[in-house]
Amino acid sequence: MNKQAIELAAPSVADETGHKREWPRFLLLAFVGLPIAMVLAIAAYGFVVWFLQILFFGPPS
Amino acid sequence: MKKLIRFIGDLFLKPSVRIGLGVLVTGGFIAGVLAWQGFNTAMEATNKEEFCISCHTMHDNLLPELQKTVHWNNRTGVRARCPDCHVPHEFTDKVARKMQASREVWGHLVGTIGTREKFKEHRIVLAQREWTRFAANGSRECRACHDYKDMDFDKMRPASQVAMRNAAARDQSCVDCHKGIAHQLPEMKGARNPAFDTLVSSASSQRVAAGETYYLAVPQVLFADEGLSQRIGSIEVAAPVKVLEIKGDAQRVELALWRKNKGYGRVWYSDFGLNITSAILDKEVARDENLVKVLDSREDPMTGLEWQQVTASAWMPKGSLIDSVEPVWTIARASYNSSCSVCHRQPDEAHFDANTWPGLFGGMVGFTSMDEDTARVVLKYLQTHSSDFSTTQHGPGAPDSTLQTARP
Repeated sequence: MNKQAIELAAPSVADETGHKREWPRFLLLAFVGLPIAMVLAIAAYGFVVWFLQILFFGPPS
Repeated sequence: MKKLIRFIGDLFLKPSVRIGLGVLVTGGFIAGVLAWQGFNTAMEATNKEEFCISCHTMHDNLLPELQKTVHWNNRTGVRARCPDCHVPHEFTDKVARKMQASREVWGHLVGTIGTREKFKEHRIVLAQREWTRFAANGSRECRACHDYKDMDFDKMRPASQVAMRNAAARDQSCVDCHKGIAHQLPEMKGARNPAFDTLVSSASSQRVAAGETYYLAVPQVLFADEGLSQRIGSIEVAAPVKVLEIKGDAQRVELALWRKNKGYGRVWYSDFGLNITSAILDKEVARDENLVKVLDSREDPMTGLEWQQVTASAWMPKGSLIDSVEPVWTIARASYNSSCSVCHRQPDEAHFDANTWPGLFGGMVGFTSMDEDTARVVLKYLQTHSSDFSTTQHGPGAPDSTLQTARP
């Protein structure tokens, strides 16, 4: 029953959000969300390399 | 949490209804360009000298030192800024180094090197970290500007040519020799040679019997009384002493050494005519006839000075003697071999005589990272293994004993 209700409601909800919130979502994702994700990914990469240097490789040669 | 995953899933998987594909892609493209540009600008901003010295530790301690060197100001107007030497130039190493700086931010917050005194005390740690980095990457940052392949060795001074051609042949790391080139060298007195710890521990477990001869494992203060309250001088590592009696935590030892009969005669040497310092007495007691007995006196034909064989007994704390001097020389030999061969082939110990070594060694030790205790022991090692004690062909006056062997 629950499943049915969601399936029934889904198209109208998507329409609704698409209609009203598509632009803010797109802008937020492109200009805030993904840039932050990029910086975090690079920082994580840096930390991983650093820890590997401490544990296994030693300073870069 | 489930909601968030669902939200992100929808965000990425549901096609947009109102915005055209071209607009989305163009918008994403622009956002990407701006983000990457912004990232690079931030990378560059944190790689500027202004950024480095905006922190007071750098501004107060390291900037004034750099300003005195050729890397700050020179006739060609090319100048090195902090990150040119201290931040790797390749992306991966650079990002790793930038993340490593989180440790420096932490240090700044807790004030590890918040004052000049703290900085000076900690400097050896920082310097060694940087030296290891340069040793591992062959001073790559230096070589962004100074590379062997671009050097015209013929334009160098003859002495530099020898050293630099050898270094180029071995592709040697610049900082191996050129330490302290842009900042002051750390004070080595805070540093300790961990090799001495084994000596200290074997000395503390050494069984000492009266009447036997032992050697100092660590420098020690000498006292006039068994309560160890009245200081009369100090004795150096590897000096031989004869133990006379042991009382509680103190032992009375006999020194049998030589001194020059000149001035107070405070400095006592291990052998006649050789400047191998073994003990230094305070000047109030050096001429005290109750304490110091003169056994013999001879004139050194080289200098015309009168040398006296002297003996004295003094008290010292227990646990600083070992029965063989060989472990001390092992440490000294290792330090001599590793420190000196960094820049040139180290001369044979017996290439020089005991009175030549101090001048030579004193002139070179500043280029090494030996701490004061190690340097003193190494000098003593060199003197006691010099041509005066050697039975090989390198006697004093042999042709190869006068020439420094900095040749390939």
